[in-house]
Amino acid sequence: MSGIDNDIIGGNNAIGNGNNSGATIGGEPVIEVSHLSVTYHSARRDVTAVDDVTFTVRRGDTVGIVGESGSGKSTLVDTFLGILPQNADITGSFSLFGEDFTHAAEHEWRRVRGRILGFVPQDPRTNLDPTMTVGRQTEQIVRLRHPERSRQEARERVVELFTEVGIDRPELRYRQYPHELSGGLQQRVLIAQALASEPEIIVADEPTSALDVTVQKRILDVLESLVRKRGITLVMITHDLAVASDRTRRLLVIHNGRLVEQGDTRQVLDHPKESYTRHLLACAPAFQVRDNVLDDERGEHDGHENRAESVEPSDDGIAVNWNDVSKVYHERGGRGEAFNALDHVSLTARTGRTLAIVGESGSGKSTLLRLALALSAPTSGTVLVDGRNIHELHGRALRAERRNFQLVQQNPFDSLDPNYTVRKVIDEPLRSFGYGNRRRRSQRIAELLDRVSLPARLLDAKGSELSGGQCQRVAIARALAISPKILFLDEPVSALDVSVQSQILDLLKDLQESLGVTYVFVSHDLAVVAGLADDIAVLEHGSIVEHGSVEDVFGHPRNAYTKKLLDAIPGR
Amino acid sequence: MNPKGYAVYLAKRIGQAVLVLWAAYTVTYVILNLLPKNVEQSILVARGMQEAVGDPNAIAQVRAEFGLNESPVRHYFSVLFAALHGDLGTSYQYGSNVASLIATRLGMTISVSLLAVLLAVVVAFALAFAASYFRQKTIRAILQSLPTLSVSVPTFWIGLLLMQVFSFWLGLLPSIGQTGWKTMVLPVVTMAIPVSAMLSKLLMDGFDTVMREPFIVAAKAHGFSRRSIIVSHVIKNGSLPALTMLGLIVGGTVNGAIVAETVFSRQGVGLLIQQAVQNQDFPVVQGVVLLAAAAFVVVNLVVDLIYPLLDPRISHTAKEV
Amino acid sequence: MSSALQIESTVDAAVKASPETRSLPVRVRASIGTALRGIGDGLRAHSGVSTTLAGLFTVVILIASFLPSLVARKDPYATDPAHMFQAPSAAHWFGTDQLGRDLFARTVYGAHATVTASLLSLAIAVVGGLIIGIASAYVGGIVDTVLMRAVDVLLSIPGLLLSITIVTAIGFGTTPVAVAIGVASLPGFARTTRAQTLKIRNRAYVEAAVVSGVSPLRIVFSHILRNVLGPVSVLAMLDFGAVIMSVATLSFLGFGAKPPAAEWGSLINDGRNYLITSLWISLIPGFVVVLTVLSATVLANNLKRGER
Repeated sequence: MSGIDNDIIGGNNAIGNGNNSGATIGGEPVIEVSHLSVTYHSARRDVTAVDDVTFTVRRGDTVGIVGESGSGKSTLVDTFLGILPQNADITGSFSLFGEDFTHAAEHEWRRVRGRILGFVPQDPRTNLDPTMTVGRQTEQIVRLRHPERSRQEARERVVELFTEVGIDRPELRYRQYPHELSGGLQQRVLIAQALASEPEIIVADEPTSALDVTVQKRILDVLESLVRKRGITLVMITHDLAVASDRTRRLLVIHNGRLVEQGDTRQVLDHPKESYTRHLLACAPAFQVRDNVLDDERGEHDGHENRAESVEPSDDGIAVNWNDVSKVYHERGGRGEAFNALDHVSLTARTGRTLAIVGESGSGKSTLLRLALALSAPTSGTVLVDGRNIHELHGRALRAERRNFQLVQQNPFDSLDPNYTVRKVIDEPLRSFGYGNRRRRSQRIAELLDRVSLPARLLDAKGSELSGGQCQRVAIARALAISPKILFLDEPVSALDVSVQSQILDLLKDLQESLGVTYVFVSHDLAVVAGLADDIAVLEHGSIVEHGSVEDVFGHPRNAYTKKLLDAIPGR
Repeated sequence: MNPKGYAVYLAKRIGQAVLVLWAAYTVTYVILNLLPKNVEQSILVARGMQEAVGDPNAIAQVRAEFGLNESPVRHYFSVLFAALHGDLGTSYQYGSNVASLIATRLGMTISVSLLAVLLAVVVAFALAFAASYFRQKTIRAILQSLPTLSVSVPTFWIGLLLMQVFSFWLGLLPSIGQTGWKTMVLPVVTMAIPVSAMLSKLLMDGFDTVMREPFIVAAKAHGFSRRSIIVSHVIKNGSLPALTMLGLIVGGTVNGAIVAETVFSRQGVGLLIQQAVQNQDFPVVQGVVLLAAAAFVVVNLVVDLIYPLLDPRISHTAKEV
Repeated sequence: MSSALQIESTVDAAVKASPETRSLPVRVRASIGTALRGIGDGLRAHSGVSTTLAGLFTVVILIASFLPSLVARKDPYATDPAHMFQAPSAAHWFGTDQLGRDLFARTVYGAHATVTASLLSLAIAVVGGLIIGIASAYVGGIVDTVLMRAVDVLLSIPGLLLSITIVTAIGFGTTPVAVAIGVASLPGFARTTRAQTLKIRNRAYVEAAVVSGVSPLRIVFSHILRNVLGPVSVLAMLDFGAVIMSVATLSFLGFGAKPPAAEWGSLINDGRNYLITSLWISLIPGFVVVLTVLSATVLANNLKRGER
C-alpha cells in the first residue's frame, strides 16, 4: 500500500501540478489511481483507452473529469465500477476505500457494490427494467442493502426517497412502469435508486448531454444538493467544460487516454497550463457567448472576431417566408389526440443573413425546417422559399426547384450512404441537377473538397472511414455543390465534439462570407448560434415567443422562457 | 385498461383470427385447384380402382358424388359453406368424412406433440439459463453452439439415428408401434430436439441482449448477484422476444409430427397427410392445412392476449393492427 | 502469456489483502480460470479453423453439385447384384446399396439434385421477397396493406405444410419441390425486406438524396436496394441450410424425383429398411446433409458477424 502512495505523489509531480495548491478539500482518499492503463484487445488491434493515469479522489470532494468523446473517460468510469468488458486488460493499479481492486474478482467486487455507484442519466429509460414498476425496482435495492427490513418498511423507505428527490405523488409513481414516466422523472428515479444503496461515491456519467437544458439544470441541482447534504463524494464525467466549471471543485482534463492537467477547477480554468486545456476552453461555445456577445469581464479569447459587428449585408430581400403556418399531427389511425406541432407561425429569413431558430426538443423547430424543405406539407398557411410557394410544386418541378435550397443534417454519420464514396456523395446533387459532364463535375468536386478544407485523398473514402467532423464537411460540400441560395442547417454541430463544433461553425461563417448564402440554422442551444446568427427566433410549444436581432435577444430578453434558456447555458 | 375496451379488442382480435383462417383456407383451395387436372382419375386411383379409369359410368358416379359438375366458383362456395359447418369433405382415398378421419387420429398426434413441446421448453430454458449464468467462455461457447448444431441435423435423420441406437443396438425401446408409453419416447425426443434448438436459440439471444442492457449493468453495480439478476430481470425480459415467435414453434411441431410419424410409422395426422399427398387426396390435405393454420392462429391469439400482462409497455388499446 | 502473468498478480494482490481467508480458494480458482481461459483461447483460435473447414467443405459440395461426373467416376445407376450391401471400403467409399449401386456416386449425384434445387428455391424466395418487400414499403398505403396481409396469411400456414400443399398441386419431382419450397419461403423474405426498407427509407442519407433532387426510382436503386441487399443476403445464407433441409425432407417423404434418381432425402429413405443390417446406406448420406447444413450455417454466422 505504501508503495502506491509514493506513486501518487510521484505522479502528481510528473504532471507538473504538484500539491502546492494544497488539496485541502475532503478527507481520506477514496479513489486512488496509480499509473493506470486500460487496453481493449480485439481480433484486429489493441486499443489503449486509458494511458498511465494517476490521481486521487478524497472523501466529500466534487471532481470533474473532462474530455472529448474517445478520450477514455467512460473507460475510467467502467473501471471504477468494475464493469469493464472481458477483453479489457488493466495495468498499474487503482484502489477504492483503501483496498486494491485492480484485478478484483466478481465476488470481491460484491463487497463495494453499492458503496460506489454510477449515475447514468443519459437515456434514463434503458437504465430501468421496463417490465417492473419503478417502486418495486427501487424496493429491491433497499432490501438488498437492508435485508432485515420487511417489505412494508422497504416500501415506505422508497416513498421517502422518491419524495426526497422531488418526485411528485410518490405513492402513485411507485406503482408506475418506467415508460409511464417522463424523462425527468425517470432520472429522478435513478437518483433515488442510487441513494437507496446509500453510496459513498457517485460517479455521474455525462449528466448533461442529450437533455434539454432546463431539465438538465434541475437534475444537476437535485444531485448537487443531495450530495452536499449527505457528504457523498461526486465524480462527474463530462465533455462540457462549462458544467464542470459550475459544479466541481477539482478538475481532471483527459485527452487521448492521458491525464493532461489536474487541479482546482477555478485554477485550471483561469490559468490553464496545458495547451490542450486552453484549446478546449477556446472551443467551448458557452465561453464564446460570454466573449463575443455579452462582452463579459473575461476578455482573453483568441481570434474569434465579433460576429455582431460584422458588415451589414446590403441586400435585404426575403429568402424564406413562413406565412401563418400550422402543422397538426394525428396519432396513427386518426382517432388519437391531435398534436399541434406548429401553431400559426409567421417568420422570415432575410437574404444573405443567418436566421437561428432555437427551442427545446418538441418545440416545432424541426417541423418548421421540414416544411421549408417540402419534406412535409403544412396543415394550413404557406411557405415561400425564394419567392415560390413550394407546396404548389410536385414531382419534377419540385425537384428542379430544390437546386435553390439545400440541407445539412444533424447526424453526420447517418447522412452519408455507407456504400458511397465521398466523391459519389458530392456527385449526387451534381448529377441529378445535370451539372456539366463528367470532367466538369470532377473538377467541381475537387473544388468543393478544397472549400470545406478536406484533403483530396479522402475522395475515395467511405463515410465509415471518416470522423464526425469530416463527415459533416462532406455533407456541407454536398449541400453547396449546386450553389444553392439558401442553406438549411438542422443542428449541424450537436452531434460533434466541442473542438470540432467550433471548427465547423468557423467554416460555416467563412463560407457565408464568401458565398453570400442565406442560413437557416436550427439548434437547441442558444450558445451555439450566438456567434453565427443575425436574427434569432425562439420557439416554444409550436409558437414563436421571441424574435429579434441577436443583440436584442441576448442583451434584453423579453420572454421568460428565453431568459430561462439563457440562464440554463452552463458557464454563465 | 377498462373492461369494455378489452372486450372490443378481444372481439376485434378474434374476428381477425377468423379472417386469417378463412384466407388460409382459400389460399390452400386455390393452390390445390390451380392446375386443371383429372380429378376423377385421381379419386379412382386413390381408391385403388385403376381399372375403372376408362369407365364412363364410374366417372359419372364420382363426379356426382364429389360435386364436380358445379362451376369452380360454386364449388368453392359449397365447399366453404360445408367447412363452416364442420364438414371438410370426403376423402378420395378412404371415402369417409375428412373431419372424422382427422379426429380419430388427432389424439395420437396431440399427445406426442404436447409432450415434445413440454420437453423442448424445459430443455430450452435450462440451456438458456446455463448459458447466461456461467461466465466461463468455454462453457458458454459450448452451450451456445448446441442450438446451431442441432438445428443443422434433419429431423428425419435424428429419428433414424435414435431408432438405430435405442431400438436396434440397445434394444431398450420399440422402433415402431402405437400403444404403450415406450412407443412414445423416441417420437417425443425426435420432435423435441429441433423445437428446443429453435426455442433455446431465441431465448439465448434474448437473454444475451438483456444481459447487455444498461439496467442489468446498473443492478450489478448495486451489488445484486448474477443469479438474482437473471431470476428477477433477465428471464422475464429475455423471454419476451421468444414469446412473439411462438408461431414458429407451431410450425416446428407440425413439421416434426409429419416426419416423426413417418419415421416411426405412427397412425397420426402427420402420417395421414404424408399418405394423402402420395395419393393426391386433396380434401385431406386441405383439412390438415386448415387444422395447422388454426393451431397457429390460436397460439398467436393467446400470445397476443397474454403479452401485455408480461410487458406493460404494450397495451391493447394503443395497438393498431 | 501475459494473461498468465496477470493471474499471478491477481493472486498476489488477493493474498496480500487478506492472506488467511482467501489464499487457497483464490489460488485454485485462479488456476481453473487460467485453464479455462486457455481452452477458450483455443476455441476462439479454432473458430477460424472451423470457418476454413466449413468453407472447404462447401466448395467440395458445390463442385460435386455442379460437376458430379468430375467427382464421382462410377455410374450412380449401375446395379451390381454381385456386390450388394457392401460396407464402405477402398473400392466403394460409402459402400453399396441393396442393388449393389455405388453409394458415393449416388451421394454425389444426390448433391447435384438437392443443392441445385435448394439454390433455385433460394433464388425464387430472395428475388420475390425483394420485389414484394421493397414495393410494399416504398409504395406504402393500400399496396402495403394488401401485400402484407397476403404475407401474413401465407406465414400462418407452417412452411413445410405450405410446400407440401404446393407439391400436391404441381406434382412430384426435384424442380416442383424446389419451386414449392421457394414460394413457401418467399413471405419471410418479403417481410424482412420490407422491414429493412422501412428502416433505410428513414435514414438521413435518403432524405439527403431527396433534397439533392434525386428521383424516387433512382433512390430505390441507388440507395435502398444496395443497402437492403446486405442484410437480405445474410438472411439468405442463414436460410440456405434450412432450405437444403426442407428439400431433403420433402424428398425423404417421397415427394421428390422418382427412383432410381438419387436425391439426398430419398437416399436416406431408401436405406431405412436396411438399418439393422446395413446402416451406412442411410447414415452416411444423412451425415453429408448434416455437414453441408452445418457448413452453410457456420459461414452465414460469420458473414452476419461481419455485417455488424
